Amino acid sequence: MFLQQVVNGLSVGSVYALIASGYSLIYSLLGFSNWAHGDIAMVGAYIALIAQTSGHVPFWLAVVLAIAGAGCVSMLSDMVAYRRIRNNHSPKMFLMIAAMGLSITLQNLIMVTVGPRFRTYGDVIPVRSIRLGGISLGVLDLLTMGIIVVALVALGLLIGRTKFGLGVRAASSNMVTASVLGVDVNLYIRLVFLLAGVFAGMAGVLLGLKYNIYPTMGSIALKAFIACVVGGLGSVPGAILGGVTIGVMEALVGGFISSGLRDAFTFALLIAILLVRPSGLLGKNIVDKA
Amino acid sequence: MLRVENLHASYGGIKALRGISLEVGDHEFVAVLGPNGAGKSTLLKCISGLHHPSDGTISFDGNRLSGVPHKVVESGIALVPEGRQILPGLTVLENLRVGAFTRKDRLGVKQDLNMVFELFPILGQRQTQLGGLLSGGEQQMLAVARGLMSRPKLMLLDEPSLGLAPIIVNQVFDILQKINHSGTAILIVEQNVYKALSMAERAYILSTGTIEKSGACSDLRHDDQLVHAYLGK
Repeated sequence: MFLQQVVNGLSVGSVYALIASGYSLIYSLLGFSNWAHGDIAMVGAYIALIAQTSGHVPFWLAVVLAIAGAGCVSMLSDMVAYRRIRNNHSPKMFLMIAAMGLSITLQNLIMVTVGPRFRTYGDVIPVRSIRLGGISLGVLDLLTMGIIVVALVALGLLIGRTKFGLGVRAASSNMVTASVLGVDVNLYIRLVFLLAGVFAGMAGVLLGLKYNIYPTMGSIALKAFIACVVGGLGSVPGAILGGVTIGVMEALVGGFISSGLRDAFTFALLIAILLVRPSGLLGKNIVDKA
Repeated sequence: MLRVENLHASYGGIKALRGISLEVGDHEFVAVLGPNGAGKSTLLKCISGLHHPSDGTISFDGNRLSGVPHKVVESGIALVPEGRQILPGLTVLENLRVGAFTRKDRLGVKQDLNMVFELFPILGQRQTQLGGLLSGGEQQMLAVARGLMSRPKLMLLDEPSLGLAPIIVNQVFDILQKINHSGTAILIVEQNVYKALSMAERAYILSTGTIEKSGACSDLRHDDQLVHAYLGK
């Protein structure tokens, strides 16, 4: 029973981690909470739905379109909503407010065009489970975890080992210095939004497969935000650790205490972390000695 | 090589530069001196694209500079910023690699890394250490080395002696002279007037946004008025 709940928690937590990693990337670069990030995931879920139901394309293609579409919407959101605010040296708070506005806009756009009803993709992934030493593993859960592990490892390599990653790290360390050293920071910001959007789109489709598709499904990003704070805002490994921690904790609380108290425990963890270790579990706290 | 003509710049309503013209020739070592608030840093910011001048032109090798920082680097100008601006969470090696960000010749970058480690042996020993953990002197070495990694034709330095012990200042200036002798032009902004006058070939004296005096350093060193104002003799 315990192990079963841990496995369930890992499955949900991996989705949190996927959303949180993109969230964290944007935070590390621009220093603001992108409240519209969850809605990008929602848009991704709807793109797949529309492609599947109206476009009649095979589901794998619908997923590809969803991921690409979410990436583009994310990149466009920067160009439409954030870039001007960034470039006129406004306080970070303005960016956060713009993000809230964008979040409401995207939700209403979907409500007006597609409708507020709960939708599903139907039976695209078989609802079967594999038994493994007393634990039953859903095919969808296994697939979800597998895809997310691959995606996050790829992200780690991209950020840690490539020139693109070096540029992102330089820009998130100090944008002005990165620019005078030759990093085209505007291009890198756009690429990071694209990358975060791609991850959000992936998460949106996985959430839609597991639960439902509805205009406010992006509110799951609140959990991703908590995951980021728990793990350390701006740290991608921290976001992943935070996401998995929260997922497992929710599953355990839901399984052994009460599913009604799940969110209470999550918020209690957030408050505890803020009190005891405000920089988060893996928070960046690199001081300049000189 | 670098030609600044009638440059005006302001912050809000406050004028920082009021019609500055200056030139740096091939392989030259030029200093811009002056007290705090004279507009020295603003001048370098305008050249490197961090601040947009309200009037005037800046051209390099006959072409007008774009005013976009990464493009200025591509055209062959490297800035060693005030306060060193080491990226603290990146290793020494990564800081150097960011310095070579605009380059596509991997082999050349590798050669330049070796060249830089030869010039600054301490950086070679600390390659894998985080930049933020270096001492002030080491960070200044890293900032200069990082500037070299773009293989610039002209290097701009903003107060490289700031906050460093005199012995380290001497080391930094010795290395700058070496860099200059190997063919890179240098435009340095300094408050350490004595040191700068003894190293550079020519100097411009800046005061409240205008050029007050300019000439060969050997002459300026014997300018009574200047010596009186800045060296307190």
